[in-house]
Amino acid sequence: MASRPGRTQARDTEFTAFVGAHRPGLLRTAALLTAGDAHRAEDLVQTGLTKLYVAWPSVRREGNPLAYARRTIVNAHIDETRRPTWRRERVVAEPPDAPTSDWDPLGGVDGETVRAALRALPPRMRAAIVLRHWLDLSVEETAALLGCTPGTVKSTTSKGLARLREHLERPATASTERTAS
Amino acid sequence: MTDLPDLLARALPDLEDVAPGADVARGHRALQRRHRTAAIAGGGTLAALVAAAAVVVVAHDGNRVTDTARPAAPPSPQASRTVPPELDPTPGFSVSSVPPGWKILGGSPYHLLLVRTGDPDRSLDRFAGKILVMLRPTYLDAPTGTPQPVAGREGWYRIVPTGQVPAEDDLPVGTADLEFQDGTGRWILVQAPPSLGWDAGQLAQWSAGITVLPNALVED
Repeated sequence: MASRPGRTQARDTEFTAFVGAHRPGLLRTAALLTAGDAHRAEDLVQTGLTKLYVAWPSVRREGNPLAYARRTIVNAHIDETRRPTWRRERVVAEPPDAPTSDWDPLGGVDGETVRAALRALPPRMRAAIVLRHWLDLSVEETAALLGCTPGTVKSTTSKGLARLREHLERPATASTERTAS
Repeated sequence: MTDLPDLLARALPDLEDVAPGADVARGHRALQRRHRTAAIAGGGTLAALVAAAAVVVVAHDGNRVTDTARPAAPPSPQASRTVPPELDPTPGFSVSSVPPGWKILGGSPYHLLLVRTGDPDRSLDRFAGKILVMLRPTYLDAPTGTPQPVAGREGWYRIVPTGQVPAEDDLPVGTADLEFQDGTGRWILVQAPPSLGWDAGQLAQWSAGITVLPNALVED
């Protein structure tokens, strides 16, 4: 499409600056949402940024393109995992209601162990943990982004941390499969 | 207790840096797909409405001119309800004259396009090499360039910088922008290609004949 005067050029300039500043962070967030799947993370980021470009004028006017990009990426992640080609995780043990305060998650676990533990979480639970503990969003911001109540965020995050702990402590007792049906 | 972010950081795979240009190009294509979809959806009424809008002969400054863009009738309330603005092919602008060798192509509530006679490009969504009239988008910064009054009101003229951003098809070098206020205080933006061969004064004189119609919308 050729440029309208100022319109496309201004959009491109602003969008390019935004992408330059935030793409690496969005990609890291997407990588955690996908439990370490770099290809799916790239797909999610591309989807999110494409939607952001189309909506750029109104999103820019609202003043928070980063929140919009994160929301589209999270939604794309959750939508994708609803497809029938994805099998939900199977957890062997019942998790505790809340994590204990003396949990030290870095007990010599490697990256693959953490990714396996993340894969064991349902997509929304994983997203809640990533938004709260990776992006350091508030409960309210996370709730707005996930489209749920702050109470749901709190309980989901708490249960998610408990499951994460359980899987890190006993990774062999639970399994999660990404399987084409 | 060790930070949970540190734990999550361990889960990060090797990630590849991607230049922003690829994301911009994908955005362009998505925008084009959306416009094509809109054009197909509105195609049933496009030809009739553009034809009704385009051919009226008026006098301008005592000289006979060829045609002007003026809707035959304002959009009915029913039409407003059934045709979303982005699908409405009724131009939101009229002009009192058409440069020799040019003709009105059509537009939307957001813009009016004129094209050189014989130009095979009939797209209402490509602007390179065409004359474009639109309300100045609200998200743009303040006008810049050289002061160029239009009908005694504030206006600014500049040559559009090109090739500075990744784009699939930039404007021709020498494309000019004229931004000016009309009698109601609205800012109008006119884009003219170098092939028109006009200087700032000529473009301002022609632009004084632009009328913003009631159905005009501003890009935001």
